[in-house]
Amino acid sequence: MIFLEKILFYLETIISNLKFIQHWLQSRDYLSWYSLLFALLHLILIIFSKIDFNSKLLIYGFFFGIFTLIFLSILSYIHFPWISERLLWNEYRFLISYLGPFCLFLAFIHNYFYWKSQSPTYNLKLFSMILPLFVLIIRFIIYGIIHPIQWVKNRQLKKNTFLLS
Amino acid sequence: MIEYNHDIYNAVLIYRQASSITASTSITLLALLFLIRPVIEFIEFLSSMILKKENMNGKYL
Repeated sequence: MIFLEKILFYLETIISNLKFIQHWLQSRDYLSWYSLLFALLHLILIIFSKIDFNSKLLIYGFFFGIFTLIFLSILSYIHFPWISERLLWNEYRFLISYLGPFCLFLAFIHNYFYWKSQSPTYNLKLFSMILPLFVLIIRFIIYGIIHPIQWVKNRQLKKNTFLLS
Repeated sequence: MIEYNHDIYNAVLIYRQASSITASTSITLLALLFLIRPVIEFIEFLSSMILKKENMNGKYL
């Protein structure tokens, strides 16, 4: 237990001190732009491959894909520096922390429909479903469960100190 | 005629595979974008919990 505590303490000091993690946090914008670029490439290649919209699952997947693309374009538009500096902090935070995971969720559903409709021999679809699922679960645990509990605890603490004073 | 059809089939298959590879790259990049922040916050939360426990016991790091 003491060993684990020491490891966590060192990790925290490393995160707060190392410069490359700060740089990485600042250069996260590129990830969204590359993601949009690859999504557009995917759209162009799927148009070239002349896919046939016969089954219902494929049509649902297509609509989810279009919505994902719209949200992804909004997300990468927000990440441009000349746009993000004009937004208010509340707007920026709302768009990044709610619209972004929603976009990831839509992409996950889109992926799920295509994985379900086609044969399971080609496992790239399954492989690309694992990481988004993991990210969605971990985000739900942190922002859906831990943060509200901490917020309630802080509120009770504030109330108690107010009563004591 | 048969070879011509075979070529078309091959081209369609290659386009489809390329499209699925680009799609998986796109979704992986998007997932990475939203992974880094929660991981850092999770480590901070764990360390703060442990620091609180230490303070409750009267020990300081």
